[in-house]
Amino acid sequence: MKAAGTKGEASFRLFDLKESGILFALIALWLVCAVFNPVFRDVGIYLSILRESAFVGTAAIGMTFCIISGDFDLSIASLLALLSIVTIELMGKVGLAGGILITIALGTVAGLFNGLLVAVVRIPAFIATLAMYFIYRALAFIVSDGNPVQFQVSWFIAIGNGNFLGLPLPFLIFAALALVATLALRKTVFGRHVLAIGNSKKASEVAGIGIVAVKIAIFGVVGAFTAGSAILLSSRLWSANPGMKYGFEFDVIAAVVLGGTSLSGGKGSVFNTLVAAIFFASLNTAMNMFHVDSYAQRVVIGIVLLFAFSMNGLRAAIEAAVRSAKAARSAKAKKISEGA
Amino acid sequence: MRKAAFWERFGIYVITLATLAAFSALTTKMLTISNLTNLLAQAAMTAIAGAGMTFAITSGGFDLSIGSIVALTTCVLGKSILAFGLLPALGIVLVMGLVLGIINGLIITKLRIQTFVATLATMIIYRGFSLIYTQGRDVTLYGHLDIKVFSSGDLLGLPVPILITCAAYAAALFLYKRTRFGIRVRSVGSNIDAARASGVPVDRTIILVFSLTAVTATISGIILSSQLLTGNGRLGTGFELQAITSVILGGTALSGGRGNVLGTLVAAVMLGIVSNGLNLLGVPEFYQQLSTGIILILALSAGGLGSRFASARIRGARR
Repeated sequence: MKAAGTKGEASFRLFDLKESGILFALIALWLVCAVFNPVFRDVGIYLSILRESAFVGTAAIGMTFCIISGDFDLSIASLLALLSIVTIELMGKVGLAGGILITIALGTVAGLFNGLLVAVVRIPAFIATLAMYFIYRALAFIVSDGNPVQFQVSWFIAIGNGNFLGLPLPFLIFAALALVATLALRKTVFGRHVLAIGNSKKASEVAGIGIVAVKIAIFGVVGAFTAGSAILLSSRLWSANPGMKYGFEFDVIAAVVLGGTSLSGGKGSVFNTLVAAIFFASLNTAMNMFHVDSYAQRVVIGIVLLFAFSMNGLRAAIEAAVRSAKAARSAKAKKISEGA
Repeated sequence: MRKAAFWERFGIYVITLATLAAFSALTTKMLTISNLTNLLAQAAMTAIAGAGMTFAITSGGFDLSIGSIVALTTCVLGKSILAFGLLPALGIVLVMGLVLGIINGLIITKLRIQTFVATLATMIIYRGFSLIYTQGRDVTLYGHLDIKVFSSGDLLGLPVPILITCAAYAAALFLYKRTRFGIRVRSVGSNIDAARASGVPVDRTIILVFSLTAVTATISGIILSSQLLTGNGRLGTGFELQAITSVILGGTALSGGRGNVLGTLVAAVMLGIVSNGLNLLGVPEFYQQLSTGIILILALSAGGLGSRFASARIRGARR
């Protein structure tokens, strides 16, 4: 009995370590940087990292829900470009609150439309959002006539560039949203349903979860958070252009997966996504500070991703091996006790 | 059910003929021999890489790295032509493509990473390589016009890119239908555990599949170099999604196990017709993206709704 208890504890600790791997990676990265570069001994650089983490991170919160449910959304880079242009155009006309509300509403509607294609028309999410990837990008070009747009008024650019209580405002917004999302994922019926659908669609259906509604809602959430990123980013850049941020969807998916959310669905955490976004921003900043050639930076990021992804696979393999060894041991013990 | 299966298999032919008819009605420039050969030559790039991608998707995976492989091909081909001449350069890039594909395959099978994220990472890495290699600059080949043969040359009156496409599809069809490899790809795609249990060398099959996609992407890269007479590390962004689009439109199941090689070719030609037709009508380029997206949704929603009704009917019958 006692032995079983300690074994349970050990496996729980392993589980815990697995959950926070990205946090350790982040701390290790910061320590290494601080040892080798004096810039990393100043708090300023960390504030700037936190600011940069918000732009990918905010969209990654929504994507976390989506990936947990077993799907992903390829359309968000195009939607980001479209919404950034809309934000800039709106702010001058309807003011701050109106601009934010309308952009988020539009993002949500766009997301709900994606969800409709996936859940009702039953196009696989990969294809449906691939189609919308083309369509939102085209709309971005059509709305702006192919030209960049600008809006440089201080109350708008403060969202992306300002500070509050000494902390970068976009990060505060990002962190607050992450907190709300964590509560939504862990403490609400919606969050439970997202996790359940990711674990087993069939079981969820049998359990009476309205899969269609939940799926549509998930894509709505992705759209809303993409709108959040669009507002922060266009404010940070004071401008937007229809060809902006190609490949943003892959940055976001990479951040979510780096945070330990499994692409096969069913588990994941918003907090780890937040940490992974900070990790990405740190890596980019560190490579700039160490004067890594901007082209070589991509290679480094790719290799880090490969390493992180293979950790998941290797861990699963090790766990499976441990489990089968345990099973073999308990079978043996059973046989012995039966024999006795 | 039969209706849905028919649509899945032959829908793309219907859509292609419909778009061709529509554009022919809108502009007289569409149905001329010179425009059609031009159109097919333009579609060759997507079609050839699509042939490889059909195998990847049939095996249950994706290869997102092919856009970067195209970029790297144009860079390495450019530099090697300047150093060694055309023929050795072709050999070098084809071997390079094979090696990149084997690397993809090894990462997927040995590090046990899902194809989507594995090739997402190598997509970033290979593009990084091509940018480092050229320092982001163009490699121009204006003094080496012999490479032009791959985009505008002709043999017995037929344009070379069309011939290459035909050869690629003949090979792909043979591989898919007539070889053990083709059967193994399908079995890995429909149920990887069952395939492994019945003695299919799963890892080797996957490595071969990703070598195939990489090599076809390299051939597409050669054609692109020949069209542009330029190598650049930024070329080919989004190309992977274009190739995947034509594979899916062609009727290959995203869930794996069922491919449609000819369908991919027809779909690539259809996308070519749309972009060519919109060009002839003077429509701005971004409307072409819009139409690609809409075609994808329409084609797949027809299939999806069809099977939805069919399954409803089956359920009703059972009751």
